[in-house]
Amino acid sequence: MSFISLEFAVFLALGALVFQLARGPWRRLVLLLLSYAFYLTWNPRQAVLLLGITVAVYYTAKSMEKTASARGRLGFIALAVAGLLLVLVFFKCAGLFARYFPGRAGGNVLADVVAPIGLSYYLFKLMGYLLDVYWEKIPVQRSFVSMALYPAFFPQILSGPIQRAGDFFTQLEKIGNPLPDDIVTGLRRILFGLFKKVVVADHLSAMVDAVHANPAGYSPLELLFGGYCFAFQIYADFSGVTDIAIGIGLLFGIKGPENFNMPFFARNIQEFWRRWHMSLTSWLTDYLFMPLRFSLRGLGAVGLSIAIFVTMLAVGIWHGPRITYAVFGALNGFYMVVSALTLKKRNDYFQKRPLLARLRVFAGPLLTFHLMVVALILFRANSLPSAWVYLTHIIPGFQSAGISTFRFDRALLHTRQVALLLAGLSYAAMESVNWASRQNVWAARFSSAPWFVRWTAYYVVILIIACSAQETRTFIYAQF
Amino acid sequence: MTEAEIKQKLTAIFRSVFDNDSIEISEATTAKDIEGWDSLTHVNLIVAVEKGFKISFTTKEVMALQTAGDLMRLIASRCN
Amino acid sequence: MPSSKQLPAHRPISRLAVRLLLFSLPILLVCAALEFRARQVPNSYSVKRRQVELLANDIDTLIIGSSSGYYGIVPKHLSGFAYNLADAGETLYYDDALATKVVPKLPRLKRVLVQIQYISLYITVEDGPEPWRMYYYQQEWGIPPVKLGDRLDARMFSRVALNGAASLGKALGGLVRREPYVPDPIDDRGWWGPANEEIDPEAINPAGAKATLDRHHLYMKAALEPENLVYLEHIASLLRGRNIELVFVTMPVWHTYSDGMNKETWAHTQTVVEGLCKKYNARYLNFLVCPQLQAGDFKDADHLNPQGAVKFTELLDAALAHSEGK
Repeated sequence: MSFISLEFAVFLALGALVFQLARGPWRRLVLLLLSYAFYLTWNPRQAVLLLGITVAVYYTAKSMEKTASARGRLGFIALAVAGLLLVLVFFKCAGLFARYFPGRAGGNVLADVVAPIGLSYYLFKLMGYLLDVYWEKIPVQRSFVSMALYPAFFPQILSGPIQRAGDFFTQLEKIGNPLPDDIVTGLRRILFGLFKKVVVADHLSAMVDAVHANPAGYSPLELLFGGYCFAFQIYADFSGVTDIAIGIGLLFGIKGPENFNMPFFARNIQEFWRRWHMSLTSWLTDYLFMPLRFSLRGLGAVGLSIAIFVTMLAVGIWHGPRITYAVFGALNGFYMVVSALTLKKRNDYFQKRPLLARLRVFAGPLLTFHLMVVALILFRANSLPSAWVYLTHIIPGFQSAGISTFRFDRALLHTRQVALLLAGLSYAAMESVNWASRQNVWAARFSSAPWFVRWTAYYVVILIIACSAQETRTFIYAQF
Repeated sequence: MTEAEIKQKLTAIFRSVFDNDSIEISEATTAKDIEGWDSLTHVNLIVAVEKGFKISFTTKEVMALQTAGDLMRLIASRCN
Repeated sequence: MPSSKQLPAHRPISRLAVRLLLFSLPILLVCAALEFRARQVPNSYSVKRRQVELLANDIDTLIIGSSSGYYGIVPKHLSGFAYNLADAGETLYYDDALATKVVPKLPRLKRVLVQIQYISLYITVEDGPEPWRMYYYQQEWGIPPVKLGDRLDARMFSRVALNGAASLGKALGGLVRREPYVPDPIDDRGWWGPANEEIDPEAINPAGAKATLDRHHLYMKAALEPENLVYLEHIASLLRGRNIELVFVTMPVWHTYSDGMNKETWAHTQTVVEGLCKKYNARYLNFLVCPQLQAGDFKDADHLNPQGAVKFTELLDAALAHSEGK
């Protein structure tokens, strides 16, 4: 069941009702059953895999706790993490293997292997749990129901956010009556998320698909425009999905971690990655970057660079076994290393020049945004050669003969003037509301406005969403 | 070394790593309380602590650190 | 743990529930109105269902199949009282389901023409180019989809869901956007009507035919044959059990299409049909290559246009009468 469907709305309404009617510890069970029912609508066999892995992790953690010797515990954690990584790599790369080695033993069987839905998300959650238990940051989870609910929690299983075990279990303990405020907040977030996804993101996709299908056929201006559109599209899409996921969780009294914090206003690349897909980057920071950086601390700046680079590469590869994702990761690794090594010097430089420092306030985010537009072109590209064509053709002078630098052909971009205007307006509206909701002043004003004002706002938004809805497109991030 | 000595020396290290002479640390101080203390500078801090106290930590010990108090106890266990 | 008795904290929740209900009321009313409005818009399935009900006592020949038959057989040019139940994109599963539903309701039924084309054994609606048709079969005829999972889909129950929420805006003005068809000009015997259509000469030349064949080959899957055979057998045994004559018909195609067909695949299909004929005492009229028809009789490489349909139906009628005399 897709999040954006009538049947899911019915499922959610019924589920929330049953959840409310259940009492105390029964609520966790209700959530668990709902989560597995949801997962079963995607693929029953993969649900068995999820359950199996959960059971394995549950017992591994308990066994690790009982083991007295440090070496024994190390053995457990190493085996468990290796095992989980192997599962991840297997499913992600099976298709790749079958493509490059067809006809080899098992090659045909592998070609049919499909990565289970939500695999990257739930495996990371479980790995994080085991590592946290190993490092004694959190206690072992004794209740199997709670343990099973953690990776399977249905609002987060399709596209995250990746909530930490400690945070989740703590909230689960307190699961009593979701406050009416939580439910209203949750519903508002779902509505806002739907707006971002259906009104903003889906309407940018036509232009993005067009330029990436045939980059050589577009002018530098059109390619640049397409680059901007993709940045906005993936931001709206993914942050919309996250809003929906967090909103749904709130209906059940669980608040998930945020994924986005106005990322395009970041002043430098490091800050960008602290504002974009935050649950993933913070996971990789805590479980990959820190241990790696610490192990390499003897190598000074080189060690730092390696740790940063490897982590960013992991960010890229996490998205899938495609060379474009890997290059995306590597490019960001390069950006981050340069930024990290020069940040102090840059800060010192600007401190002495207050006028330039004022310019930096605007130039910083603008430059960072453009660096990310370039990286995202790689992310979206259909292939590496296609990305190369795209990036070179953006530079005036490289475009194909007959295409002028500043041509902007709306028909070729599969869009119309009205559509462009609406897309721009809706994006601006989205970011404004986003910003306003973070300012307590505006949030308070809205909450205390009379009911007919609020209800009118909701009805208008619902109407806009309903009129904009196209054929249900799957979320970009659900395939990961 | 005594608790107070460790705390004094550690404070000096904090001030030097984060370039801020007014930093005061307590049992419950965490990364949120100190400007500039993030994942990148955290390791710099640990390296400075190792150098300053002439000790070394394992990855597991470092990962388990939550507060400045944990750090002080870790240092104490190493020094004595 | 607090006691499970009614705590004051429950009241805000029930107040919230009431408010949510009140909030949804206008939305539900609007949706109900739109649903009502949407169901009034006819489509080929609703039209045919009503026609069959109306003519139930008169029909003695029933035509079942896909678009080739829908466009290509004119009931009024067949002897007796024929009705064309075929529809575009129909597959054997639906042929069988419709036959099962409709045949018992036709007391005068003597003969059923089941159309078999090159692609018939190898396609299904849900895995084909127009899976949305399964929603119409469910909504108009009550025929459930093959896959259990598809039954949960809201589009099985709601016209608004099927036509898309995007239709809400336009629907408010009284129009429902994104109909699967501009409702066809269907004549009163179920034939895709004699509209003045612009015939695209490009459609029957080799390039057009190749495009059609490529599309067909894309969706044809050998793995689907066994289930399609089951449906065929079921139709045959159903009709045999009621002593109704079964005639398999292959509609004509233009040579640019037949030249590109896979010879083995087609030979296999023909063998299958002939085997069924022997087993169930049925007939097979294979008009794949029809020398009496010219280029001007075709709408595209595998469909006849209205003029060609009239011509063809007369040939078909003659063939039916001729074999009967044997």
